Amino acid sequence: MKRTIFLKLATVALLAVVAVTGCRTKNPKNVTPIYGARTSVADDSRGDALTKLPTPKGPLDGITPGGTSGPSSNPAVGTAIPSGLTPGGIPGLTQQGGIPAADQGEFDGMPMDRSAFAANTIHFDYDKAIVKASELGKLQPVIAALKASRQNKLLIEGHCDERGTEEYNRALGERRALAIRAQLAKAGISPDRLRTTTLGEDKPAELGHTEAAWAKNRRGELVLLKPRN
Amino acid sequence: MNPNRSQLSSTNPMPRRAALAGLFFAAAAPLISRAQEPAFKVYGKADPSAPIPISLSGFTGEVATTLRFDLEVAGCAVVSAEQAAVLVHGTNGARLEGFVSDRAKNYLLSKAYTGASQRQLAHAFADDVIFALTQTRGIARTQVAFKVKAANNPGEIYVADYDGHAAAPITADHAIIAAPSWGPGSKWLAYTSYKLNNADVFSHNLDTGERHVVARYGGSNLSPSVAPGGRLVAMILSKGGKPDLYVADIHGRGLQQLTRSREGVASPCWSPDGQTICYVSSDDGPAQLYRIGANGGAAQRIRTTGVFNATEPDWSPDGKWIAVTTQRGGGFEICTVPAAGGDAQSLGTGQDATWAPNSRTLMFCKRGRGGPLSLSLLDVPTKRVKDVPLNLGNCSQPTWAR
Repeated sequence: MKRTIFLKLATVALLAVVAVTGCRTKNPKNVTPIYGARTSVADDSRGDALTKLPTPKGPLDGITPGGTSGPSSNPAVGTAIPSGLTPGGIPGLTQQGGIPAADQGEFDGMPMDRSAFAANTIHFDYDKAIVKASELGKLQPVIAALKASRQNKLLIEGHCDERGTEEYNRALGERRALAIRAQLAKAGISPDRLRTTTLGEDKPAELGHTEAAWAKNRRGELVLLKPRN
Repeated sequence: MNPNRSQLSSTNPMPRRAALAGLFFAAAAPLISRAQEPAFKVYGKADPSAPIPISLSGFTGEVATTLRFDLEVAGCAVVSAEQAAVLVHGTNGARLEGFVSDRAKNYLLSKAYTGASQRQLAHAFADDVIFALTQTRGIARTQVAFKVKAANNPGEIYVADYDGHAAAPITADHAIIAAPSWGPGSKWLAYTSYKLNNADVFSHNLDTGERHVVARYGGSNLSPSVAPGGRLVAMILSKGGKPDLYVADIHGRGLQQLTRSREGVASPCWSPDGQTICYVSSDDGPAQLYRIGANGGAAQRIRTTGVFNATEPDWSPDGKWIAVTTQRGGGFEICTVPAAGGDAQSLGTGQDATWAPNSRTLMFCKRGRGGPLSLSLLDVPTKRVKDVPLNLGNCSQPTWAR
């Protein structure tokens, strides 16, 4: 009798321990699992010298090849990301995060059709990455087309005007592309079908240094990706 | 013609020690030992914002122009012998002989240089002049990398001497390319290239030309910044759904996410001790400076006054300052802020500055009317600017090897 009570207690205690430790080792919410560059690179092996896996050679002497020592050693896949962030995230900032991106390999070799949604380019305000309500209507035909042809995917290119510094603009272009992606995802398009890229200020729609030209250059272009056949 | 010079060469016959042959140009023979004067003065210390008035005489051709450029960038003003506090003179032929004295004929430096091009000899002498005057290391023999965009080419990375000479492309991709960042020892660079039809981060060995993928994840892979020591690379990846700050080793392994932003972050740079990364975040409206430990932890705002829409920070190698681009009216200015935060010191129109190894000189990008991009050098204490003569197209995103 006493023994069974003890056993029950032990079981409860064991469960409690498992629950607690299980919680601790779980990935923080909203954090993308680590695939490591290896996986990502291997997904896109083209045999090109560029895509070969990094193999340290002589001239890179002195660079420890990703050893296990040091502050940022390679965490094994599946363990928690030691992001070091407190549960509340950065103080004063709302913790959010976006929708993780599908690997580039998912879009490989899909021919681009720039004309399909040429009329659906989304424009942005200066230094903003918010899809304005007035621009949302242009997304409806895109949503309809993507829902009708489930084999098709979409490349969203974010662009900026020439004001601002180049790297900032490059990040801003990506934020614009991601904002469009979020709108499409909200409308029910699987984010795995939506690839984002940024061209910063490198590919202006209109050359010129007037507000009119800049307004045209602050944009997100939508490029239809069809399976090759 | 020059009394100083004639007096000097008569009293100090050139030594036979030029037989230091085989040594590289920096190997120079001290000619006289009067440099060890007891009353030693460090110039530019009392008022760093005042240029050091020097006179320059005796040199000709490429040596004269190179020397003048180097010394002016380093905070000297070339004036007449009567107005100068420091007299720099010498001769150049098969070898360069250079002398530095004050007005009282106390010799701070006298050296001969041989075994390299006239330009390199001049750079070596310029570095010695600056060291003799200011006790800080010169930058005349350093290198920079930058992006070149031409009408018929979306972009290549170039490497050049800091004064724009010997500029040569290291890529031939005809693809958009951006954000070069030096690895230590000036042997390799990391950058973003669109060569594989996406913004991906590569490392590029300058000795072998070999390249490797550092990051090619879904979304964009941007703005690599190599840590001092070269083992780690900070970069901006959008694989998680927002442009966030990540750190990996130079082979892309051990990827670690440091920020989880609501809007996105950009432009990472490292503290010289490699412990901290500075970046900009747009989470609270216009971009602001933040710092975060290289291992993660809580991000802290770097509180500044006089900076609006901070972008492209670069941490000085001595750790004291962060150079940053700020919006001013419709344009952009370079300014410096104390690394711990504080008041911005405006340095004039420009963007995207990079520190020289001396923590004094900046190279930055100027955007002319109508859009052309060019590079200029800025001496921070004196705020004097010199344009870098390059004729390659739009030059931007300079990064100084240090």
